[in-house]
Amino acid sequence: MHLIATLLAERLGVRLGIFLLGVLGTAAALGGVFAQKHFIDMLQTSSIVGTQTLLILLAAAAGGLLVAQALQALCKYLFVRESALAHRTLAQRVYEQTLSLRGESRFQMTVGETVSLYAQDVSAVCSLFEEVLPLIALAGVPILAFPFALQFMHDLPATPLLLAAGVNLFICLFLARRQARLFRRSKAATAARVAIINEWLQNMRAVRMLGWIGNFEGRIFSTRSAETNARLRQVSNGSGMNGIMQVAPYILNAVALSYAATQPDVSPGSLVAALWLCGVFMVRPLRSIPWTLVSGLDALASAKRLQSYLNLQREPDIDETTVPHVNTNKGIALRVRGLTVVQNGQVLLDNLSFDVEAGKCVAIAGSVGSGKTILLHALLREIPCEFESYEIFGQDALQLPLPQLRAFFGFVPQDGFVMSANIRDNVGFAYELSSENDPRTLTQLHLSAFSPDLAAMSDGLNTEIGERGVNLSGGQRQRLSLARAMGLGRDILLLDDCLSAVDVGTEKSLVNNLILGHWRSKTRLLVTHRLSVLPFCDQVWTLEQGKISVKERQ
Amino acid sequence: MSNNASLPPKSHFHEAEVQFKGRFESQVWQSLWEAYGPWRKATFITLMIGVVARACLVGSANVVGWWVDNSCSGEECTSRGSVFVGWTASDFAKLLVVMVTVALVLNLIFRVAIARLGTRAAGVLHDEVVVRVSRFPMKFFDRTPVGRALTRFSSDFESVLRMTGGPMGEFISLSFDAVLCLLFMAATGTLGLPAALAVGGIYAAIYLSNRMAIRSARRSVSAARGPAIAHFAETAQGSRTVKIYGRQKLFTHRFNALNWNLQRERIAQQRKTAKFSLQMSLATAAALFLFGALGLWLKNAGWVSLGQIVVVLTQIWLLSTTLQQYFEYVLQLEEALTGAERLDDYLRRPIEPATVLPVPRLIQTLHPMSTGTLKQSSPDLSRGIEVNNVSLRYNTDKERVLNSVSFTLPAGQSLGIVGRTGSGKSSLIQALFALYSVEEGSIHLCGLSTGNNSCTAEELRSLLAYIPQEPTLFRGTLRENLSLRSDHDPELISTLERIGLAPLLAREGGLNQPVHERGANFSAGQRQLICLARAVLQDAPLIVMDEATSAVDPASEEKLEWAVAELLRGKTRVIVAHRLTTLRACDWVLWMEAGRVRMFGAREQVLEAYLRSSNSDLNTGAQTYAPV
Repeated sequence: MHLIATLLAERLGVRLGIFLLGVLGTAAALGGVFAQKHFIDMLQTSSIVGTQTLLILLAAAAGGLLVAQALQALCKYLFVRESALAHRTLAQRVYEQTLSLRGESRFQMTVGETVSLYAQDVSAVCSLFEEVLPLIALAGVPILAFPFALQFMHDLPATPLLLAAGVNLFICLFLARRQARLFRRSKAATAARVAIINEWLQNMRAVRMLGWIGNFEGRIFSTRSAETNARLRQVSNGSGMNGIMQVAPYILNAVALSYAATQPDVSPGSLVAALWLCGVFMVRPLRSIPWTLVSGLDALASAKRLQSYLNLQREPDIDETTVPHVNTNKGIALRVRGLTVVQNGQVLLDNLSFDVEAGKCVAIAGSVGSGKTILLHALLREIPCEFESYEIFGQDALQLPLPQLRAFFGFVPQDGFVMSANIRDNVGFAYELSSENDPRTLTQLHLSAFSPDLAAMSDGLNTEIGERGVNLSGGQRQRLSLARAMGLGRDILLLDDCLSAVDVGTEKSLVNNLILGHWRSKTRLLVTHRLSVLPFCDQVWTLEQGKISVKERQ
Repeated sequence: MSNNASLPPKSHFHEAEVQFKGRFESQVWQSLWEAYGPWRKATFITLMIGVVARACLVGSANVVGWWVDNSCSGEECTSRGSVFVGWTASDFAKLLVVMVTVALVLNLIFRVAIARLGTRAAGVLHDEVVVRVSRFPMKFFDRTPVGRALTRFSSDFESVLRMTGGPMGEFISLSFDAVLCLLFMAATGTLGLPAALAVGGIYAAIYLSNRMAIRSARRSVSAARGPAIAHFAETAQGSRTVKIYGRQKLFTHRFNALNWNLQRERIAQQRKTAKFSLQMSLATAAALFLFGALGLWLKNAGWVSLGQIVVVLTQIWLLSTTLQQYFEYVLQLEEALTGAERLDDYLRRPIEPATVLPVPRLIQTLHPMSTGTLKQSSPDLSRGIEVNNVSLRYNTDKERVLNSVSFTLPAGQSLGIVGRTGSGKSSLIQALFALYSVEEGSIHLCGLSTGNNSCTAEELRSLLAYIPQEPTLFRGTLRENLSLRSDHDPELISTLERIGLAPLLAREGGLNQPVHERGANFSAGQRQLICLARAVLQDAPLIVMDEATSAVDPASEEKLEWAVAELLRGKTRVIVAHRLTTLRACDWVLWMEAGRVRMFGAREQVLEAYLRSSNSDLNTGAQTYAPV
């Protein structure tokens, strides 16, 4: 609620104005109805009243409708604009939060869930502006005002009408709450179906070669069937809601006219006015109530999710990324004492202490899950960890602001990071780069054994990769990440298993040209499973049960 | 570095996204019609119920008209129907209440039933598309980004599902209303029908003139949404990398630009929708005024009664608002129809050669269907693999990846394939699996070939057990990853034990233990052994193994070597080899170079020649690197 209140409070004056615009439209509609009532009444005695007056009344009736609908459209348009502005603000907040989340918070949600915060929840909250507010202005007021209007103009009692409207709305609200719940369930079922379809499409080649087409199809059919069942419940509820509200105007009409029947001299004008108000004018507002209620409830649920996401701990926003001036050529690059990492009650790294000399290459080996990647993340202070002391090139790392600390390191993750951009942008890790640095980029790609892959791409450095472009293999992504790291010139390199997806020839090339070649004067920590490269590193650390055993090169 | 966070260029991907003209080919309607197949009778009955429901509602306006006529007193009235003589106001009110109650019940039945039927029909469409996409030529998957294919099954399918499950019912109701209005108006005399046609014509004209603009606005919104979401997803995935390289500002700037672009498109879309609505409102207001004036004149001329005027005016007013909503719905519905069009496109694309669709099928397309009876030739197990002068290219405008490749592997013997990256090894494997059609030559597995229609591709592939280079495990249980059959647990257990994976069985869940995406919760060695177990369990006559290049832990290495030698003994084996030790265990060796056979023969001669050449990149267990 706090989130919604903040959003609403922005540009409050403008939004109130737009709201009033909508209410004005309702007034115009009422004026039109008023004119039309008189028109009908006077038709009966047109020989007395001039045709001109009748035409004026008719024009007022038609005009009232036109003005009402014009103001409605304007109101809706302006609210959509407000929604867009709110979306911009909220989306930016969510994005920045995603970027600066502290390490431990990242474990609480999958990537898919985080993306849906933006793709679904932000839009759901902003629909408050697009759907709910316009409806209140355009329908809430009429639904409240018209019974009184009828009472005022035609002596038809307002109470029964209000009561009938109230009952309708109450039923609708009840069904809407149910709808929100059913909608969530079917969304979950849809996500399950899309996940398995994604797996099927990504692995089509292997699926076919393994002869597992039938198997996968069966699973897709059954998840689709589960989704259909969830949806059936949802649409039954939703259609019920819509079905009732579709007939609601006529119910109101019947109620109004039933009471009219109890009046002694009900004029035709009143009859027609009631029909006009209920059967024609109220149709739209009433019809949009179900959807609006569901939107509103959805918005509340989304706001809660977003609020709890935005409340997660984040790293402070500091801009400083320049490395303090230190000598990186000699001395001890990393000095760590008493590094401990505990996750979920398990001790992953147990009071580690080590020194890494500048310019040396350290291989970190150990079985799967032994904590090698965790060690790298701890050095980057990306996860919750405790150090007795931690020095980088003699600087007290624990006193450095995080961006400065990280500026010492070049990091190549195990699965490589790919932007939806072309190869040039991916290597340079920026957008819309010009081709003036291409020779350098090409050298970087060559050193990371990517040249043959590049040669196979018809657009060369302009080839789009990522979600909507060429799908790179695991090995290609790793090598691209290596090329990127080369260009950014950091002093300490953390390489997380970057040889895992390459063949023997490529491994040889990478080790010779890059790891022991171009980077020979850098401090390198290489997490690896490749036994073949171990003899060529200065130190080999073996991580087991949270402890390191160090072996120097003979 | 440019700070211009402008938008990403259009994708230059091989096959551009198909642009639909929006003409909605008749076959899209046919597909939708067939998707309703099992429920056609129910749908028809439901529609009839809907008609009656709407008739009651719309007819209530008539009732009011008759009421007005009846209560009219004075010389001005020209009473028409004598049916209602003596009816009091409360009689009319009662009639109204009855009609509305009937309408409420019937309408509810109609709306709920039509939504349910539509949901089921959409499900049928989905499954029919899945069956075909499973059998698309491999080329399709090479050229199409996964994201685009996935969109068919997510956004496009969901827009169809959304429409059929709800607004479709509303749209049909409105169509009924419009038709009923017309009929009632026609029933009240000469004034009604021309009015209706005139009004309808104007609305149609307004719709047609706005249609293209709104469609293109909708497309722009869709196009703008993708990059924004993709960027967000990438950031969520790789925020660590972004942070370490200090690119937060750049990425945030980019995101804001992409997101604002999306919002701008939405505003533009709303503007166009508002313009359309306004034009419709103007037409409605004009119609009200003009017909009202006309009615006034006619009444003065004595041609029509007050009651008639009231009815006609109200009907016009009802019709106008109905038509206005109707055309607004048509615009929304188009989005669903676009989704249906794209699904229909996938429904009708060619599938790979020598493949049939399983029966029964609910939607008929021109693809060959399985006849259901097994009439294929049986495999001749005394024959192994015969590759005869095979040439293959992936793309008509690219070079051949295989050129006149020939060799024969007798049954029960093993073949090792060596060659540098790009020599054609994986192309050869894919050709064995009939993933691509050969340009020339033929491949016979146990005497069967897809080329001469002696068997389908699926039947051919069932002769092969495949152990991939990168262990391929799927989300599910361990059992599901080992075997498709559900009834031979003892065999699974004994195989796992023989391979040395008994510790896995001891884990919680045993065969039911979960396997995460890509088998991430197992070590590399374990994944390979599981894939090997799977191949053993398949009990196929031919084994194809694409040897992994990465070294796994020594314990797993040992188990693998033993398992390959022992458990696959006696089968015809093809191994793409990266280890010297593996090759030493093969009977024959095939040396590939640049898509051709450099040498094929018994192990000793070929291996010796290969090792002597400078092209060898085998893992001999001892690498040499340049001294640091």
